[in-house]
Amino acid sequence: MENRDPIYVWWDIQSCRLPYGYEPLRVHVAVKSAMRNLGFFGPIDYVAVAVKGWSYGDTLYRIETTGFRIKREYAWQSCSMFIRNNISEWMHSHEPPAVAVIISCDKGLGSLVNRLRVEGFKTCIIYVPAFTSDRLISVPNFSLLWSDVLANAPLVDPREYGLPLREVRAEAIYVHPSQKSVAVTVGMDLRVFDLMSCRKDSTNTRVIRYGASGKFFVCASNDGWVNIWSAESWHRLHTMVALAIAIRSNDSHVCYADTRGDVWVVELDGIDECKVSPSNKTARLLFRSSSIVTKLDFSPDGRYILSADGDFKIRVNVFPKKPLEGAHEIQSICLGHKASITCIAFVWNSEVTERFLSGSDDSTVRLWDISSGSLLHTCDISTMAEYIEVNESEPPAQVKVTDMCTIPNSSLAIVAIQRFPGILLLSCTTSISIKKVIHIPGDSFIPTSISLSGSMKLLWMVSRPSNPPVSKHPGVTRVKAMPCIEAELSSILGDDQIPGGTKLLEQLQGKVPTEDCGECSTRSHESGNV
Amino acid sequence: MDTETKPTFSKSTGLPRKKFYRARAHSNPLSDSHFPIPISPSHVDLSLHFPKANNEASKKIEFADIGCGFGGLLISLATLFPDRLMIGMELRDKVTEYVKERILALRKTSSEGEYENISVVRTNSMKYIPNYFEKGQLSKMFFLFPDPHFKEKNHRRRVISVDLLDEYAYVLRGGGIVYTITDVEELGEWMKSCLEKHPMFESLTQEELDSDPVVELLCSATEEGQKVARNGGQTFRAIFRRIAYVS
Repeated sequence: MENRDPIYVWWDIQSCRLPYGYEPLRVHVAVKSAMRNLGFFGPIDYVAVAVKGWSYGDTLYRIETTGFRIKREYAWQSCSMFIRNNISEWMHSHEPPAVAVIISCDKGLGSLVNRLRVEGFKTCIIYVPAFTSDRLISVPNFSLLWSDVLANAPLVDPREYGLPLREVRAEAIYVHPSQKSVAVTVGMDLRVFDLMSCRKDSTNTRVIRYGASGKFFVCASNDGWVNIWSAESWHRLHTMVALAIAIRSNDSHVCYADTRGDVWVVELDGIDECKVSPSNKTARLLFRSSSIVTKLDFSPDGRYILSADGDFKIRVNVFPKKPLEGAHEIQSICLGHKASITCIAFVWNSEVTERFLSGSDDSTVRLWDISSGSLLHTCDISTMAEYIEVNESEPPAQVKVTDMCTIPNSSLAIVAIQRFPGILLLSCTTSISIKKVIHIPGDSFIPTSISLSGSMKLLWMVSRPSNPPVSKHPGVTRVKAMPCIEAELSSILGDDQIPGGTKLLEQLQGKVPTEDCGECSTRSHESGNV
Repeated sequence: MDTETKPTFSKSTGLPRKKFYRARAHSNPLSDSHFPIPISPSHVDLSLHFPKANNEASKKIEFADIGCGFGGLLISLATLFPDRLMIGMELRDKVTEYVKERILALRKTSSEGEYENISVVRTNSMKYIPNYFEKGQLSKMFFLFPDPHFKEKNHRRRVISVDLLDEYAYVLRGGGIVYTITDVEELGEWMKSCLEKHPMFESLTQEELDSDPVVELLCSATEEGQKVARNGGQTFRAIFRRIAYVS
C-alpha cells in the first residue's frame, strides 16, 4: 500500500544552491520523484529560504510559481536559523506520521533531526557532500545527495519557456591520451564522443581532465561539482565539489580545489571501479591556499603539484609520499604575473625538464624553473594585437592567453589567444620566442581551447562561433583538428578527414539547422585547402 | 622633517605620541586589500626602507615581526642585532604610520646611527609573505600577541595555522626560529599544537630557550607584553625551529 503521509520540504537555497543549467521550475518535480523513489506519495508542502539582497536572478520567482513559499533572511547564517526555528515550531503543531525533508548543508541540524525522529517523524536530509559531516548523514532515516536528487530534474532547454538565455561559457576541448575519445564542453553541456565504439554522451560540465593512462576521466561542472568517471565503462566513481582539478600521471591521485582555496586529494586506488562512493570520506585536505585556486596541475613526473591562485602566484608544492597527511613542503613560489593565470603547461623533453610555462590575462607567457621558482623569461604577446579581430565591446589592447599546450619531447608550445583567429607556436628553451604565427584560414575560427593527443599527433581545437547570434543556436560550436607531425604543424584537416568524421562533429559541435549545416561544411572545405 | 611643528609628536622626546594613532584592535585579514604589494621579492626596494644602513648589495632582511603593533620589539632588536636588517609587518594603517614615524624620529635623535636597520611595511602577511621574502631568506619570525579570533568560524583568520605554517616554513631557512607568545591560554594551546603538528618544525629545548637573548624580550619589549605584566597576567610561549624535511 502506498504511503500517503504528508511531506514537508525546507530548502536552504543559500547553502544548497541550484547548479547552473538546472531549471528552477523542475526542482519540485525532482524532490517529488526522489520522495517517490523512497516510497512516499503524500502531498508535499515546500518552503525555500534565501538571503535578502542576494542576486539569484529569476530563480526565486520561478521557484515560487511552482508552489514554494519563499522566505528571505538577512544572512545565510540566519537562513539555517530560520529553518531550525521553523522546524521546531512545526514539530509542535503537527502530529506524526509526516515526513520532514531538509535540503541544507547546516552541520548543526543533527540534534534537531534526532528530536524529529524521537517524536516519530520520518526524516530525510538532502546534502552537498563537502560541506556536511558524516555524522549528520547517519542521523536521519534517509540521506540523499543533492546532485542525485537533481538528476531527476532533467536539464531543460530554456527556449522551451521563451526565457532569456544565459551567456554560453567558453568552450573547452580535451582529447583522450591515446585518442580513444574526445570531449567538448559548451555552456552547460559536456559532449563526449567515443571514437572506439562510436557512442555519444552528454552531461553538464565545465572542466575535464583525462588521466595519463586514459583510464579515468574527471570533470567539474559549472556549479562546482566534480565527478570522476571511468573512461572505459562510463561509470561515475566519485563526486565532490571543485573549481580546479588535476590527475597525477600514474593515475594514483586526483586533486581538486574547492571554492575556498582548499586543495583536496583523493586516492584513486581506493575507489572501486564500479562502485559510487557516496561522500567525501576518501578526500583529505592536501593544503590550503590563501586565496581561490584557479588552476591545478601535477608535474609530468608526479613530484610536484602546482596551484595558481587569485593572488596571481603559482605555488609549487612537493607532492608527499603520504599525501593523505597533507603537503607541507613548498618547493617554490612563482611570482611575476600581474593578472589571473589561465593555463599551465610543462616543457619536458630529453634535454630540458623541470620547466613550465604559464599563460595569463596580463598578455604574457612566462617560463619558470620548477625547483627554484625563478622566472626565466617573459614573452609579451601583446605585439600580436595587430592580428586580432577588433570587437567594439572590448578594449583593443587586451590580449589574453586563453589556452596552451606543449608538444611532448620537444621544446615547443602551442598557444591560443583571445580574439586571435589562429595559434602561436612558441619555442622555449632558455627563453621564449615566437617561432610561427599560424592563421586558420577561412571564416574566423578563434580557438578557445586546444588539446593535443599524445599518440596520434593531432591538435584538436574548439571555438566559439563568432558569426551566428548566440541566441539562435546557443550550443553550436566548431571543432577542428590539425596534424602535428615531427613538431611541425601542417594544414587543418577537412571535416571528413577528422577521425570519427562527420558523426563526431555532429555530436561535438551540436546540431545546426540544415541550411547552416551546408554552409558549415563548405566553409571547412575551403579552410582544408591551405 | 621638523618634529617641532608636528602636534602629534611629543615635545620632550621628539617621538610620535601614541594617542594620535589609535586603531581598532581587530582587522579582517581575509578581506581584499588596497595597498601596494611588491610583485615579487626582487621588487622590494630596500633602499627605501634602509637608506643609511651600511649594507652591501647582497644584504637581505633576516627578521620579520608579523603584526608588529606599535613596534616595541623591533626597536629593542635594532640595538641587539645592529648588523641585521629587520622589518615589521602590520595590517592596520594608522599603527603602521605610527611605527614609521617612531623609527624616523629614533633615527634622527640617535647619535650613533642606530635604528637604521629596522623598518615597517603595511601589508597583509597572511596573504603576501611570499611577495616579500624569498625561499629560506628569514632566520627569525615573530608572532607576538596576535588577534585571538575566539569564534570557531574565525579560526581561519588566525595568523598561526597548519596551512600558513607551510608558507612560513618556506620563507624561513633551516634552523630559523619562530617565536610566538600570547596571553590567551586557548590561543597559546592552538599555536603550540599547530607547530607540533607541522612536520617542518621542532620545539626548542629549555637550555636553548635560556641562552637565547630574544626570548626575554618577547614579554618585556612589546607594548602588549608590558600591559599583561602590569595586570599580572599569564603569558604562553611557543618557540620552534624550522627543520629540514623530506616529504
